[in-house]
Parts: sequence; structure tokens; C-alpha cells
Amino acid sequence: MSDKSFDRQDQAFRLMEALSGVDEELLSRSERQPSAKKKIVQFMGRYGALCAACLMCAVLGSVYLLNGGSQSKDSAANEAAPVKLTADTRYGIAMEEACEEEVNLSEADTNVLLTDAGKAVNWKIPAESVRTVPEANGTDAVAQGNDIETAEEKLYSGAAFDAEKQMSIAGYSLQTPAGYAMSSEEAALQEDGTGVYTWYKEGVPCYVRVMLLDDAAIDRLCENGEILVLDEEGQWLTKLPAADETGLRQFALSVGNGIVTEYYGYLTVEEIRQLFE
Amino acid sequence: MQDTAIIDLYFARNEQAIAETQAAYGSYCRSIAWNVLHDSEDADECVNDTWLRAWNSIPPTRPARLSVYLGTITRNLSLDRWKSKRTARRGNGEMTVVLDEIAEVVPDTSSVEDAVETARLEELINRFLHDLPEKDCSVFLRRYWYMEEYGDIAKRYHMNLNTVKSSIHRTRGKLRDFLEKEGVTI
Repeated sequence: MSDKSFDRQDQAFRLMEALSGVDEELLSRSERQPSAKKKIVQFMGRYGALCAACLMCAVLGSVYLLNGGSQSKDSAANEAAPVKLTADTRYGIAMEEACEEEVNLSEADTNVLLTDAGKAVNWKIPAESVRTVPEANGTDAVAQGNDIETAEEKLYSGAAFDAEKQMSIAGYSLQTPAGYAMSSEEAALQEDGTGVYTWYKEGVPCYVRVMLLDDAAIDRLCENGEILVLDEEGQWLTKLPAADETGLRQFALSVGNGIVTEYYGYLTVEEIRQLFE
Repeated sequence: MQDTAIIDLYFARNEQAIAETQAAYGSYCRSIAWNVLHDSEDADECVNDTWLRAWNSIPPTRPARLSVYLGTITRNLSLDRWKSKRTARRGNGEMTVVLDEIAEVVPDTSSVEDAVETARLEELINRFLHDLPEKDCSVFLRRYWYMEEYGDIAKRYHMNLNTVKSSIHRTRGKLRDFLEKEGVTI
């Protein structure tokens, strides 16, 4: 180090010594860590737009799930269906609009809504009769239309037969009754392994529960007259139970391949025929 | 223990005061000494000297902020020790780097001592620092009061390393201009 630079360091040293007289207030201030609140404000200031975009994606995702995840294929047709929303409208499109207003609807809430359809109905066929599939078979995958994957999983788990049956619930489609709007394209899978279609017409609901029953259970229920059997001649329509004074009718119908449907709604006989045939 | 309780122990001439001070501010003071000296033994001695000097100065002094008071003592002791050992061995560490940097600010032809009294210099520096934006001031002090490394300052204030460096560079330039304007010729 040269003499000149050595002198300069001496002088610099004096400055350093002078810095010892800095106000305590300034030193104390420099001790403080930036507060978490300030950091959040800084973060929001810098990434606010990104956060808003993420929030919007989350909302759209919730709406997508609410619609069963794959409605987009026929969305144009479904959107064309007239929808009248009333206080009685609990699911489907009404809830989708509610989601847009209440952005805090979580994914868990959405799943509950999907599996809650038709719970208000006092179904006649007991849950014990329904053929259940192993937990690992992933009814969620069926609900999301992920049929191939689910079938593969079940083949490996030795439950391919049940998988095919379960898939048939999701695959079993019904005509939307005239004037009604469906809440989702696919049956909403319930905890008991059944699927429930829900439609509304001016707030009036119509439910069809789709389930798989053992052959023995179907035979037993047929013998007891608890379920009707779909036939090409339309004989089953003559056996429909009478509607009550409000027009409500409830019955169970075996449609083949172990699939039994349970109807609960206010359709006329002709509308019911169109629904199942 | 709260600062006021520790200070009360000093005033009561209770030797527990030193143990409590050591517990509360031992690592803080040691980090200041270490940043100047970069020598464990010297740093420990400076910290011990700090407790002794605090014991001798309290009372009558009643520090408003004990941490700053002790830190200032440690810093001064460390600077003195660094200076006394400087001729024997040219210290490496942060102190040498810091001095090289701050030398940009001081006069080239005449000594600071000739130009202004130390007290006057302190006053000018305080005025300058008070006029700085809070963050620039804090960053500057972390560098030239605590002699912290750039990386540590960046971590402390959640800043980019280059931002810290450029902030300090700008502040040095401003200080030089300020001292020049106040009659400290560069």
C-alpha cells in the first residue's frame, strides 16, 4: 500500500470514527427488520395483478368443477337451455352464478355440492342394496369422466367387472325432460356409490338416481313389486304409481345390465316415457 | 430482562448487571467487534472491555437505548484496537475494504482533521443521514457503522445484492458532495 493511499485510509478512519457519533435514533431505526405487513404491501404492490389473475383462475376452476369437469363439449347446447332461477334452485347453473359472485367458494365446497345432489329426496331403494366398489377404484375419476383410467386401475386391482359397472353409471345417459335445465351433464356421484341426475323447471326439481344392484337384489325387489322393469312394449308405464295431489311421483325402474334408476319428480307419464326410452 | 431493569442493576452496582448484559447483548456486540477486527480473540477482548466500560460509565450515564450505547462502545474499542494493530499487520477483513471505500469521500489534499473538527464532522454526518431516505440511511449505517457485508445487508432488508451496492455507492457520492458543499474540500 502506497503512502498516499495509507494517508487516505487514515483520513477515512477519521470519518469512521466520526460515524460513531451517529444519532441513536438512526441506529435504532437501522436495527428494525422490515415488518411482515410492509412486505405484504410491497408484494401486493409488485405482484397484485398476478394475484388477481390467480384468484380468477381459482374461481373459474371451481365453476368448471361444479359443472362436472367436462361440460364444455356440449356447452353450447346446454347454455341454450332456458334456466329460471328460484330460491329453490340449489345446484348447477344457479350455483355457478353464485360462485361468480362469491369467489371464496372452495374446491371442497364444490365437491360437497357435486355429491349432495338429491340428498333431500327420501329414496326408496336402500343404500345396502347398492353394489359398492372398492375405495381405490376412484369414483371421483368416474365423476370426471376419466373412464379409461379408472377401468385400468380396476383391472390391476382385480375389480374390473365392478369398474365396468361403475363406469356404466356415468355412461348411462338420460334425455333432459322438455322445459327442464340440467344441473350437470353427468350424474353426480354420491357417497353411497349411486349417481344422481338433477333437472329443474322453474324451480321444480326432477331427480333420477342411477345405481347398480346385484341380480339377486333386483329379483327380490321385482318380486316385491318395489321396482318396475323397462320393457320395449311400454308395459312398465301402465304400472307407474299414481302421482300425489302435488303431481309428485316416485318409482324405481330396472333398465338392464344391473342398472336400476329411481325417479322422483313431477313429470307427466309421457315425459317419463321420453326420459327413459 | 428489559433494558431498564439491566440499567437499574448497574445503578445498584449489582454485578449481575454484567451477566445480564452479556446474555442480552453479547452476540450483538461481538458481531460488531468481529466485523471490524476479523479476529476471535480480539473481538472477545473488545466485548469484555465493553462490559467494563459500561460498568464504569453507568452511572452516571443512563442510556436511552442500551443496545446502541453498548454497540457504540464496542465499535469505538474495536476501531482503536484495529488502529493500534494496523501498523503491525495490515488487516484483511471487512474493515480494510470499508476504509478503502469511505476514502473516496475524504479530502484528497488536506486532512479531515485540518478541515473540520471531529465534532463538526459528526454533526454534518448526522445532518446528512437525517436527510436521507430511511432505507438508504439504514443501508449506509449497516455498512459503515456495523461494517456488515453487502450480502448480509441484502438479506436483512430483503434486497437484491446489486441494489444494496448501488444504493451505498450513490449515498457515498451524495456524502462527498455534501461535505464538499459544507466546506470539507475534496
